[in-house]
Amino acid sequence: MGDSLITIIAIVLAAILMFIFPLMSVSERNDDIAQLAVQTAAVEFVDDVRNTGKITSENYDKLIQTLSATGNSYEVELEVKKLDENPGKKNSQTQTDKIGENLYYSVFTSQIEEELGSSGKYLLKEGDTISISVKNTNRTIAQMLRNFFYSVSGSNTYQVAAQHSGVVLVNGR
Amino acid sequence: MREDVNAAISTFMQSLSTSMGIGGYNRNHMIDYIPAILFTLYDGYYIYSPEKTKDSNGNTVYEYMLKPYNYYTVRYKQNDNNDVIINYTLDNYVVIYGWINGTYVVNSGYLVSNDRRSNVEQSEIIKQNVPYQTIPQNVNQKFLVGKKEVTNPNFDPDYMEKYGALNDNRTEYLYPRNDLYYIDPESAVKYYTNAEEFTNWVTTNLDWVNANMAMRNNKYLKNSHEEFDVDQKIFNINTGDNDPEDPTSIFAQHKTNVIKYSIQDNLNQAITAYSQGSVSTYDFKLPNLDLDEWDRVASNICMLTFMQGVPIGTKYYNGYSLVQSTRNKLYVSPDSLYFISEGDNYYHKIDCPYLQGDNIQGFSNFDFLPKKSSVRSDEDPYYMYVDEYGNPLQACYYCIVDSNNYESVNWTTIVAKRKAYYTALAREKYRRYTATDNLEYNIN
Ligand SMILES: [Zn+2]
Repeated sequence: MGDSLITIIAIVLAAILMFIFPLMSVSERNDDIAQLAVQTAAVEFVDDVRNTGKITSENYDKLIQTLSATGNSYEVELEVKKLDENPGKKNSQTQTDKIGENLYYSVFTSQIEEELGSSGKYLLKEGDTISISVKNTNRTIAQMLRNFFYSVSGSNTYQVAAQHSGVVLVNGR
Repeated sequence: MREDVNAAISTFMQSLSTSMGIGGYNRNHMIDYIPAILFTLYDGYYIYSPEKTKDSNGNTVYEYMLKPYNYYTVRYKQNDNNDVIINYTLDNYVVIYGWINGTYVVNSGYLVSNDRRSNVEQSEIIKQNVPYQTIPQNVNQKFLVGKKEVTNPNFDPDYMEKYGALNDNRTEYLYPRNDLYYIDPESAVKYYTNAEEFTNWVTTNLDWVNANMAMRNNKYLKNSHEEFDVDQKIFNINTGDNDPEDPTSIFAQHKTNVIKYSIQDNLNQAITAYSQGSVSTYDFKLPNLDLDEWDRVASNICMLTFMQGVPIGTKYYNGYSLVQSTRNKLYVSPDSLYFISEGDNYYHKIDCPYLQGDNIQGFSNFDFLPKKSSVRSDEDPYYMYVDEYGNPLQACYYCIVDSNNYESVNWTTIVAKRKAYYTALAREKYRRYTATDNLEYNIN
């Protein structure tokens, strides 16, 4: 396989991920208005990060505001998976024509918020992934009814309101 | 290249329908929602879209095909004596052909306004770890040997120890990039020498070229796109407002518009034609890309895919994806250079504070990817830049793996860094220039 073909195949795979994530999240969501607003906000936030290579305090604040405007309270969890190609170099089994043998390490909400607080932006690079998960922290009426009938107990009473993730396409600066 | 693009498209379609198949979508119908795919390359682009043809029964059908390569060309006509076609590229390289003062000419080269000849490395010593084919008998032959210095591709005792006798005819070790592999030690200086000569020629012979003369298919672009309805001398090259290497220059802005509207007009045509012939009732349209996205298209190798009219419940999914490739051997952009310093086992971006020392060299980020000699498939990948023990250099954790960890330094004030940066950029462009001698241009 030629070098240029590998290059093109790599961008082809990235292009596919760009379609599949939104399609899947769109098809899974229900038609509840608040749910739709939350899901849309999450998708827009992630797609912006993918296209600019950075999380800015501006966009993050906008996301939080959109969420609180629904009247429910939410907990936002961010996870950035940093692509690290160095470990693969020590592994002699690495094949140049296999894509995706690299390692990732994760950075979570609190670390990202800390960086946003100090510099106003959190930079990502091409190949990193960003994912967001939004959960209800108050019990919606539907949840309370469900809990009443099925007596769900334990700490896991969150209702996941939205989830979205994707591969970053550009180096942030 | 055409085969590569075709292979990429079939991979794309296959992966897409496989993934969609899992989600309950009909695999075979997936393609109906993709009115066009665009591939932009260094000097032109491919559009993949359905084309009207007749089947064996004489019925009109639409068949997906890769249309002929379009160069980033535009024609400027002043009168019958001054009538040229210019082929732009993703950077400051241009090809010119046509009539100038009544004479037919063909010329090509890089346009520069800053002569940095005295600021670049006059003769570089480059050490690369590459597999070899045979030992050249003539020291002036264009071959690199092992971790040899290019200035003197001669006997290397270390190398001999590793791979055996020097005169072994080990043809299985092919050069990964053949002709591109030889690096002229004076590349950087020669880049500026050639570029300056070419720029002088252009400023004298094309001083009449104006943005408002630009035409395609015998129509003035100024009539359809206001960006061309301006009085701007494109080839009045100067360090003030028209430095061709500066993306905000008159030249670069004009070039971006040429590329943008060539692509936009052709894509529009392809998508509209598909919409008219499609069995779907969905009205396919070229979505508006914003300026920032067009800048990315005009300065990178990209793939732009459209997906439209996918029914989801009562709605339609409509989207496009712009993906760029910043690591390839087709094109070296200033952002795609990584730097190494003698004794440092990490490679860096130019503005990293951990990039230090007086002996700094830059290379295309593509050169830091694992390489494989093409014939011996069982061979481990090798790396072109290694430390003294032969271990591959690693990406710096401060500036490359996670760039939140460093304070950018002003590298333009640091002599060693400035020299390394301009030398690397000029050398890589010169290598590209010498390799493009083999490229055929569409002269018609
Ligand atoms: Zn660094």
